[in-house]
Amino acid sequence: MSEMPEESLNESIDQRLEKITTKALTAIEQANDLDALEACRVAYLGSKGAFTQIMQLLRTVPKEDKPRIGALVNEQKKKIEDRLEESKAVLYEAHLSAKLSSESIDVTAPGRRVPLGHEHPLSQIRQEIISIFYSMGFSTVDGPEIETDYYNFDSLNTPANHPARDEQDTFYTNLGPHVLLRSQTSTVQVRVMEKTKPPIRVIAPGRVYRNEEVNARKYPLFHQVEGLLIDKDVTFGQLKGTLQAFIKALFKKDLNIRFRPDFFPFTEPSAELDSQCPFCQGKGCRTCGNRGWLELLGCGMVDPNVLKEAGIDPEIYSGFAFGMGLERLAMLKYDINDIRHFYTNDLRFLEQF
Amino acid sequence: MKLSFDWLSEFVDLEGLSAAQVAEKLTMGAFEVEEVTPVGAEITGPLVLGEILEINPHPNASKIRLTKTRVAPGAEPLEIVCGAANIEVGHRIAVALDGACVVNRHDGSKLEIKISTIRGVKSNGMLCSAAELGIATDDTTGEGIYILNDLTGDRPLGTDIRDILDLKNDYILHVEPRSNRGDALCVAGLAREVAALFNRKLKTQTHGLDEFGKALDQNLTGQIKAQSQADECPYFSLRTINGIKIGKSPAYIAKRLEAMGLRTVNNVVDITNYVMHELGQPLHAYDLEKITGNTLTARFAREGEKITTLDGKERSLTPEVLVIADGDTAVGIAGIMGSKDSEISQQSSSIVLEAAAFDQATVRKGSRLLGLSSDASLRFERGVDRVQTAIASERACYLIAKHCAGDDAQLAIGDLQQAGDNKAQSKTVDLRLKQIDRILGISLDSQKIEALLTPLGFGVQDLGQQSGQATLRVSIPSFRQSDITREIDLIEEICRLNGYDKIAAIMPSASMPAEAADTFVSRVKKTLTSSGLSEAWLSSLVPENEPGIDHDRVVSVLNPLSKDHQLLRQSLIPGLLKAVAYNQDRGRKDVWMFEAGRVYERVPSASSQQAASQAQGNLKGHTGSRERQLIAAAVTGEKSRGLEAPLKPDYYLTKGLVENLLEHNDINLAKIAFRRVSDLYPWLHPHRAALVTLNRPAKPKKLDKAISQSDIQRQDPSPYDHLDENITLGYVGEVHPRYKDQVGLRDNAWVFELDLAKLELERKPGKFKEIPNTPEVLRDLTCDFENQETEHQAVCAVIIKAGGPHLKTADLVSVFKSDRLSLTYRMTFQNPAETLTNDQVESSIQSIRKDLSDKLKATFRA
Ligand SMILES: [Zn+2]
Repeated sequence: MSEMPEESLNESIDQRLEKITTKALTAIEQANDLDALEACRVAYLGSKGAFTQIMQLLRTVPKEDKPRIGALVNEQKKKIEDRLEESKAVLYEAHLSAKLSSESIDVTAPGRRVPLGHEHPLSQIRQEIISIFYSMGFSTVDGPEIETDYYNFDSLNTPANHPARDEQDTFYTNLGPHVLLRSQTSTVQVRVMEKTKPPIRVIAPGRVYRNEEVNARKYPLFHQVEGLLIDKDVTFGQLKGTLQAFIKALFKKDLNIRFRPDFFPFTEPSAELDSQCPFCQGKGCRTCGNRGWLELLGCGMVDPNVLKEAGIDPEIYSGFAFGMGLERLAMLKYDINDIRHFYTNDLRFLEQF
Repeated sequence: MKLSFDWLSEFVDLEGLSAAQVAEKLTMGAFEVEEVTPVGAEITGPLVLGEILEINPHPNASKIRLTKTRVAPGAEPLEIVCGAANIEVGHRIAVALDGACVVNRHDGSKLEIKISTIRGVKSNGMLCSAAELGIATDDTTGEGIYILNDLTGDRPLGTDIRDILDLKNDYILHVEPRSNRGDALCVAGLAREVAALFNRKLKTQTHGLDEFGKALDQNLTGQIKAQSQADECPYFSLRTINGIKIGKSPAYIAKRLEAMGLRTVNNVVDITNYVMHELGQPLHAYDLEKITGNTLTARFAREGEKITTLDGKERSLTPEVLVIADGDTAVGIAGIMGSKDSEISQQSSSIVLEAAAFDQATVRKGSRLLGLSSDASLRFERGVDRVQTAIASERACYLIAKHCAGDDAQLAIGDLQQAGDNKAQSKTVDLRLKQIDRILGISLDSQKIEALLTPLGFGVQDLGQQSGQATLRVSIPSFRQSDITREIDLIEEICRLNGYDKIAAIMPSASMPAEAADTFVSRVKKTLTSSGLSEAWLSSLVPENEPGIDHDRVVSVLNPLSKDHQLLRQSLIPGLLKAVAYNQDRGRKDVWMFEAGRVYERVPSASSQQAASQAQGNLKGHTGSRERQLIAAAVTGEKSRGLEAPLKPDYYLTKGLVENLLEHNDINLAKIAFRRVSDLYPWLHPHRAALVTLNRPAKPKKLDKAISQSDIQRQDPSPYDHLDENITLGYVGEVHPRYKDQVGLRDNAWVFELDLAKLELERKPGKFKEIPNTPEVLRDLTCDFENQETEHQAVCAVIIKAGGPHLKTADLVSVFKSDRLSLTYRMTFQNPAETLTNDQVESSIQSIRKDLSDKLKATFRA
């Protein structure tokens, strides 16, 4: 290898550095995408790149020149790196914007949905009623639908030959003369009182049966929610308060309601809770049979005979009971005009809830 | 019952009250008035009695005639055109003059009369038909003019027709009868209520027979004596009346009965009905000539004794039925209906009028046994006041004497023949003032209570302090002695008379924590709705030909109104598939539905006896049946997902629904095994159905507790008899093509049905496990089987058992069938304590391979 004069050698490194830098900057300028830019970086700053090769020559530089040349190398390298960064930022933005616009979609096209089903309106209102009473301290209990006449009638102060037995067309079964399909959820009253000592606060939702012809208002089975509260000093005033609060919570508004005297064998005094007919504002229409009022539920103070039958002393405890028809409340809440909709299970009906 | 406002006003002062006001007050006083309907026409303006003097043909029309009618004594007759054919000279008729309003007989609307020209002849008014006066008659066409000659007596022409005919407007109040208030099923009883509720005076009634003094003195023929042989007829009275002429009832009686919805029969029968509705006492009139002997007796029927009742039906009696009999024959069923043979006819001239008291329960029993009820039995069943029996008899007798006497002045009225006693019994109930506050939450003093009770006939006596409590002694009037027997009955009475609205609504004082309900079932429902299934509520009463019924354990109803509601269901699936078909018939293709509902079965007699003996002394709750709650679903048809490929149901999608349902409700799928099943139900495809079972025995004791809803001690074998019920949770499968055709499904469907109580027992909410830091290792393994019937579940079980403690999952990722069955599993291995080495994983794979090849003859490709 021929020894070159230091001067010329130094000059030569300077010049070559200048030249490479200029070439690199031009190449960067000309790179019009990120890949080309990366190629530039590899070509000049990569491990086998032009700039790296120049660096090899640094070893040959005399000691006294090294600081100067070294500074120059770093300066030129920084220049290239800075330009690379600048260019990269610009090209990245350009790349992104091209990519984004190529990804344009119709944002109004329908969403991809997991198909959802609907809970039956009676389920929904049942759950709502349970929650409302739960918030008032009522637990939910259950009872059999196939019942004895004892729990359906006798224990409820309705002995054989009581005319009230005729008013509920009861289904009797092949299981024996005393076994029937319960005609009211009131069956649960004495069952609960036998097992639980007061204070008692329960509701019992369930299916009941009446032997009736099917029409727009009647079906041989329907659903009730029974309620029972037994404690010391329970009054008719508390019955009114509890049911008023319930109706307000269920219908989310103050319905115009009234407590109208009625007769049930197992409560005394007894009342029917009526709501002013929302379909005609009390003027009288078909839905309310021109009464202007709709019956919502029956209620009353538990008859002392029923308490005694369940082994509770009526001189110490008193209580109230109520029973409401789920269908009736649902019809009112959702404006449903025919009870048969609930059991036809037409999806066009179910999917509205 | 229907209550005439006008009739009511005869019993109570209603001055200034409208029918609507009375209805409102009765409603809020425990007698609900369902409706108030106006009756009678609105007839206004000049409407007078006229007489036809001449009838001439109309000069310009053949069907109508020209009358000359006088409408005032001595006045110039008016020319009035008339189209009716039934008029004759000398007829007295109702004439509507210029300005009068009557009823349009064609449509019931208002018809205004004006002087008009009809076919060129001036007509000065209109001759009225009954319909035009708003009176119901036998004249169905309503075309004939109402001829009044028999009704007007010597009233002068020009008299206002409204003074001759009872054309007053009236309102009918439809009052709901109360099962414990027989006393209020009549005008007088409701008048008592109205008087008390409005604080009005009752009007006194006079119907003294003295008016017929001569008839009372005359010799009576054929007097019938009264006799009672049964305590169930505590009072029996008869009155014999001669000299009667059967005919039409007077207009006011007919009108009122018609307004009450009753058919008029003849004057005597109408009067007995009239008095029953007025006073609440059922009465019966027999034709004297058809009575054998001189005594009527109340006695129980003989076994097989026959009677043909007024409705023409022959009835066979039993000794539970109380009858009224003459010499030997039953002439009436006591309190229910008389016999055809002793019925009043057009020819009857003497009658026997019965007024009696019959036992409530006896009448009710008879009525039920015979399937026969009447207005009379309705009242006796609810209790009739014995004290007013004789009063009612006298009232009816008075009306009969007044309106039914024959022309030949032979009217003779016999004495009241009586058996038993009808005296008032004195009954009192003590009322502690504090109890009113305790039950109602309102304090009332004794003056207030007295003021409330007295108008209804109660007597109130202040006893002062009794056993330390202020007490009133209340005497109960005879007509309330059946419904007011206890202190609480008085409290109710006071509550309603004071007004329910007077009681302030408050919340119960103490509160108590409640248990939430049904969270499991609600959650199961949510799982299914979020998978696209909608909830159905199906009838639990099913037809007698319901498929899949196990008749040995079926619960059936004995008295169904419809054959569609005869049995209690044992599965939810037939109903669900019917609902599917219903929706398909209406053009719906994707029908995905579920129901959470009960099934019912009778418990076989052996265990029933066992249960009965265990429940000694608690037979009152024993029904010999069992109820279980199931969750079932049916899916058919692709669910469209907009632009996406639709979701297509098949066996595996349905099985996936089951798996999701279990897992989402805290049941570890590792505990579950699916076992091939055929012939379980007619609706299951024999090769595409599986039982959902536990892969270990259940815990029998806990299971018992959860399902013993009907106080049955042990559950009994279910439809899965031939399998082990203890571990069977339910089934899943495709619907059998035959069943599909039978019920008219338009597409394949898949179903599952699970026992919710059993599922709930298997719930085990997860506990947190530390998340491992070590990496997971994935390995795929393809195994080939000569036996094409090799089941995934068996393969997977071997893999899991052989895979060692660090095998986390083994998922089937591909199935390929050629001459062999190839199953590929993706397995993940992980040791939470340290990173697994390749050797460790390899050794697990080796033992899996070995077991698969040993146990299931699996081979592996290189
Ligand atoms: Zn209305």
